[in-house]
Order: sequence, then structure tokens, then C-alpha cells
Amino acid sequence: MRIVLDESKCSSLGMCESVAPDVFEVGDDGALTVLNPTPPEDQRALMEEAVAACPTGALSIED
Amino acid sequence: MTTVDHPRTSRPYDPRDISSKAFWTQTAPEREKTYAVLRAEAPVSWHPPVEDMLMEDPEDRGFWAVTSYAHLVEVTKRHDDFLSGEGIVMESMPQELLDAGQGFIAMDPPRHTKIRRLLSAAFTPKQIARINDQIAANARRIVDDLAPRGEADFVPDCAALVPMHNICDMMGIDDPADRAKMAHESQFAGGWSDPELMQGLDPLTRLFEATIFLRELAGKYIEQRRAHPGDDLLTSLVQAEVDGERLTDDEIISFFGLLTIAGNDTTRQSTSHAMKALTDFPDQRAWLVEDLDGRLPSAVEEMVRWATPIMTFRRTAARDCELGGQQITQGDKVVMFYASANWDTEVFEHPERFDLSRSPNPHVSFGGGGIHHCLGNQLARTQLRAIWRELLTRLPDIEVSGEPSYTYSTFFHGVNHLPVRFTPAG
Repeated sequence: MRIVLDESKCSSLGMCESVAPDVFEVGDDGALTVLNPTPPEDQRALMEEAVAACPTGALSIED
Repeated sequence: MTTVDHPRTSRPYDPRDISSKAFWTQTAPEREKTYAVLRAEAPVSWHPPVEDMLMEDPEDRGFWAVTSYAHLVEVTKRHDDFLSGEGIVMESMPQELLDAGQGFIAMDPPRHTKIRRLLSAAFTPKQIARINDQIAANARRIVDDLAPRGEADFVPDCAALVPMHNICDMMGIDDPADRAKMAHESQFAGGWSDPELMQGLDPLTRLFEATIFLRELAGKYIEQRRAHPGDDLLTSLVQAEVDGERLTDDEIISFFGLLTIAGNDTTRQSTSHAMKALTDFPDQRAWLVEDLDGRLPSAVEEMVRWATPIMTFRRTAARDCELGGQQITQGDKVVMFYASANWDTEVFEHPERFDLSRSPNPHVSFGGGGIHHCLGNQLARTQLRAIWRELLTRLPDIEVSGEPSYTYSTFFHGVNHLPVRFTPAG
């Protein structure tokens, strides 16, 4: 499982970070970093929740 | 010689009225009756300009009303077709007002992307968590002042104070007199048609006065932060660089105006409408207080859906294109009706029920998921949780005790006054 970020869509709202703070972080420069782009499989449900939480559709999961 | 009419001048208007003063002075449930018909029969429909315009605009031939949830989300996401740079309220406005009050909300990419990122640092989940204690302390102080009184006008005595203190804390506006004046002046941004607020003054003149006040206040604090940097948002703006350049004073003032308006009026509205709804739906209130901390997160989502504090945002078509089977022409005003989308039965079961356990609750009160999605959404949620935790714990029987008066506006879903009573507490 790989988390893919489309930077052109990301508005740095941090909705993903509020769902999964270990994987996503909006830095003090306002840019989103995917801290762990390949989270373990047991986090799939959480990752799907984080992806769905993004109102701008900037995140997706690739297998 | 033949003249070909521009589509805007010859296009027939939809017969359902959503442009008149009579429509906009109705209550939200009354307006919903018309929206329901439009959603079912003409979710993208062409209407004459709204009555009581801020300024005469002979070029204004009307607007497209986008009333369904699906089409609203589509417009939000098609930011290349539907631009914000020409204004985001229904009415035409003088450019000076657009510049002063709308900031990056009325910008398009690529500038919007850069500026927004700059500001988003102040609104990240981490940053909001850092100021969580401050937000809770502000809620506590507001209820401290309210508690012994037994009755109050909920809007100025509680709902307006919540965002006022939090926004001013974030921006570093420390003078209490500046805080109060700033919150008051911000109301004119969307309340210019309201007779009570305007007190017989000419709307355009009063709006310019409010703008001048905000510019002067911002100017004063900008100068202070240049000389004495703090750890507030204004200091970050003063020090920030975009493409290697510092922001101009005009740009900073414009963000200041936006944060003042977007930050103050919206949360005030949501808090006020929630007070009314908690009175009208006692079963929901009982459900909430059974497990306040556990249920507040979902309750706050429903409060925000129910309030829909911003009723409309406008876009302008960048090119000829299609939307919902309608042919849109370049330059057309396209107006999204958030209250209508939040009541769309395609998405919400029994939208007329204030259901604090509603899940999922994909309301569009913070936006439909486009690049302009509300930057302050986490801040708003945190504030609402804080004030309702405080109110429902310390004033458990607080309820609306008289008729509310609503703001006449096509933009803010405002409450001017909301009498409440409660058993006084120490």
C-alpha cells in the first residue's frame, strides 16, 4: 500500500493529519508531508479514512 | 445589419423567485420550500439580479443558481472554469471593497495556492491543538460573565464573543476596545442590507467606513509587529515571503479583513443557530448531554450543517462551458446555494431534523471540497466544542426565551438577537 499525494490539489487543511497524525503532517511552512508513504497493511482502514477525509481529493492509495 | 443578443440578455429567467427582498427576508425553512422545487426541477437555473443591490450595475443580467448538492460540489471543484477572482458574493462590488475584504478567498491559482499555504501554517491541526487551552479558557471566561445574569441576549453576550477573542488572540489584537470594534465592524461585510444593523445609513458609505476602520487598525498592528515581532499570525504575515518577496501592506490588510470577517461572523452564526436548535429539539439536547465529550464532535457537525452560516458564494465563468445540462457563457455569475445543498435529500435523510448523531454528515458548510475549502474549519469545530461544553455543563437549562431576529442578507445566515434565560450560576 502506497499513499500518493497530489500537491496541485492539496490545500494543507490537515484533515488527514487529524485522522492519522503518525502518517501525515502539515509543517510550519504550510506544506503537507507524508511521513510514511508506505504504512503497514494493518493501517489500511485508517488510511482509507484519511483519504476520504480530504475534501480536495488530494490523497489516494496505490497498491 | 443584424444584432445577435448576448445569451445573458436573451436567456429566459426561471419563474421561481430567489432574487427578491421578499424571498431573502423569509426564514430559512421558508426559503427551503423554493430550493426543494429548484433542486428537483432545475438544479442549475438562471435568475434575475437580486433586489437591493449594493451598487447599480447595468451590466448585471442575473445569475445561475446552483441548488443541488452534486452540482455545488462540481462547481467547487471546477476552479479552472469557475473563478473567484471577480468576487465571491452575489452582488457586484466596488473593486476597493473586494480588495480590502476578500483577500485570498477571491484569488485564483497560482497566487491563491502560494498565499493560502502561507496562512495554513496558522491553522494546522497541531497549531489548533497548541491553542486549544486558550480557546477553552476564552469559553470559560465568556460563561463566567454570563452565568450570574439569568438572562441575556445570546448573540452579543456569548456567540459573538467566542470567535472575537479567539481570532484576536491568533492575530495578536490585544487591546479590548480594538477587539470589540473589530467584531462589530466585520458584520457590515455581509450585513449591509440589514435595516437594524444599518440604522438608516447608506450601505455603500457604511461599508467603506468599516473598510477604512479595518485598514487603519490592521496598519497600526502591522507597524507594531514590524518593530516588535510576536508569535502571532500577523507577525508571520509581516515576515513571510512568497516567491522571494515580502507581502505588501495592502495584501496583509486584505488577509486581516478576510480573517476578521470569515472568522467572526461564521462562528457567531453557528453558535446562535445551535442555541435555537437545542431549544427547539429538547430530545437532541438530552441525547448530547448524556455523553457530552463523546458526542460533541458529531453534534458540532450537525450544528454547522443546520446553521449554514454562509448561504451563498459566487463564482464567475472563465469560459463558455456546461453545467448540469445548462449552457454557461463566459462571464456569467454562478452562485452556489449552501443551505440548499445541506438540505438535499439525495444526500441527507430527513434534513429537516436536527439530528446530532447524524453520520455520515458530509455537509458543505465549510465548502464542497475545492481549493477554497474553509481554512478555519478545525478552528471553528474546536471553538464550538469548547463553548458548548462550557454552556451545557454550567448552564444546563439555558434556553431561548423569545423570538430571534434574523439578519436580512443574501450572504450571512445571521442572527441579530436571541433572548435566552437560565438559572443563574455563580
